[in-house]
Amino acid sequence: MNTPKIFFRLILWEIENSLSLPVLSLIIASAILAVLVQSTSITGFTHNYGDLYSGANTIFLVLTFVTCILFSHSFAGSFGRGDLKRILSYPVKRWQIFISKMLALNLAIFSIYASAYAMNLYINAISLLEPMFYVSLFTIFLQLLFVCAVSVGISMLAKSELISIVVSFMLIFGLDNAINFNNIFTSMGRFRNIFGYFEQLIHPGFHYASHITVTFEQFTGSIVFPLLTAVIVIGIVFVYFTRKMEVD
Amino acid sequence: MEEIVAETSNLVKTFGKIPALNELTMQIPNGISGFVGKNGSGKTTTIGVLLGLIRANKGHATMFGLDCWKNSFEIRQKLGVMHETNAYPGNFSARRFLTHVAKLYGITQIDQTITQLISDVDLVHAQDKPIKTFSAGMFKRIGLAQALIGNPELAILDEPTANIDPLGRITILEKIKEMHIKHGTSFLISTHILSDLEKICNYLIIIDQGKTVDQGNINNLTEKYSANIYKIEVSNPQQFLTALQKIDTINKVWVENNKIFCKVNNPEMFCTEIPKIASELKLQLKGFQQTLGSLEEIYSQTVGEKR
Repeated sequence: MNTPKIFFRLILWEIENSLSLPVLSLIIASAILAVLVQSTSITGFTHNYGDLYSGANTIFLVLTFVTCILFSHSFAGSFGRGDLKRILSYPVKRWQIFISKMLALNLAIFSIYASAYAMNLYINAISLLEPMFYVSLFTIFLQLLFVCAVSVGISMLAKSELISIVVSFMLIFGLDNAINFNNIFTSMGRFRNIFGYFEQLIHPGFHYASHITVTFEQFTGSIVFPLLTAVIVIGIVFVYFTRKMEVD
Repeated sequence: MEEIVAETSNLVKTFGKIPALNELTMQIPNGISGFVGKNGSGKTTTIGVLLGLIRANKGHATMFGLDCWKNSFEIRQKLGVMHETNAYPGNFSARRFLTHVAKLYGITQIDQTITQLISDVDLVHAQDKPIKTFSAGMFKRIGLAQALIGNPELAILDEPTANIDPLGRITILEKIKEMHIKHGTSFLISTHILSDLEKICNYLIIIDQGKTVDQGNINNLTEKYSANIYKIEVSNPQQFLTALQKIDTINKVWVENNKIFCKVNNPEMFCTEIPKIASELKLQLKGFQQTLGSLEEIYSQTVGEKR
């Protein structure tokens, strides 16, 4: 059987398995709630792109939590339940299993959160052509990649679903709260830097996101840090998963 | 000489400081092989090594002439596996799950194959129910179906008849036998239910503490381990039993269904003594013969002796 067909099959399997009805409805509900909380937390009724920035920390918090749960369930949980052992007994290559899990979950979570986030456009009467909306989506994607990398990395170390959920969430949540808000190591710090930098370029004179000027270094650091972390961690886990991992 | 499907040589595997396999050497020939040993004797670890899920610290494991770790993908194309754990996607129906698996094996006539398999493992009534609603026995049936779906050259079954009612066990054993006869599928069956193995196996591998204790054709093993057990049928077993207990050459004597069984250490002397005792007691000696022991007898002699 050719690789694309197997890939497609595995992605469908993962989506059906990890995102079955009760779980899927919970994720959708959490995403909608997070966006509604964000929208209602706005006090100025500005009704412009600035509403995309205000209160975004709720979305990052919920997104981080949901991502930790789903990736830990899919990777660490598959050790405990015996799923991985079973799937690895079928004629499927290890890299196909890894990539399909990553693709399926990232695509599913991003689609749900992006759709929910798009509600902002309607609630706050923002144009679909507003570039800051896409900047926000890009930042959500970066956050998703970062959390996914941390969760998958810890899943492989812990091989226990519960430990992986708690440790990865506490690590990211702790980092967000322990360090200066504007730092590139915090979720909102990165969002502020990326959003603020584009705000300076696209809407000069407005400062909804950045009350201080965002430098190019802060901007690139906010993109490079999560991307580099994701590439390094996912790369290491990929090599381990495909070449070294033992399933007992 | 039987064709060897898989073999291991001097396999060593430790988990931290705990040894799981200790120079394990065994062969799995074409046919239906039983794989027995106590809990924690290394059966599941050996299966893990054969499947390429676990890498041995030392030694070699090959299947179809290929290295089990390096060529695990190629091996799995000819392999069907039923694990001990019931890790099946609970939200899928049996039919949908089997369809998924069939597609991974690249099967073309999916509907036809699955309908036949579902009927064979007696899951027709539950084929559209979510797997999470299945009973323990039904889990075993779906496990067997997914292991056999690719028409494998070798199927490795870990506890295939555990938690299944007697009729269900017979169905599964018959299916295994049928697959072997019709398609030439070889089986490696790891189980604690020795009476099941007795019905279908032609080869037995006994391991203990990560080592092979003995292996071979079932007939050879039963002869080897029951050479000194004799069955006696007399008109008055109780009276005869009292007399037998005075003979030194007898290690153990017991009665089953009015028949006396003796394990002896000097067969020649024993064989001359028995007719004498019968005639002294004026009892009719209806039968006197050497027995072939059961798998349980072999198991208790090989693994039990070490306790």
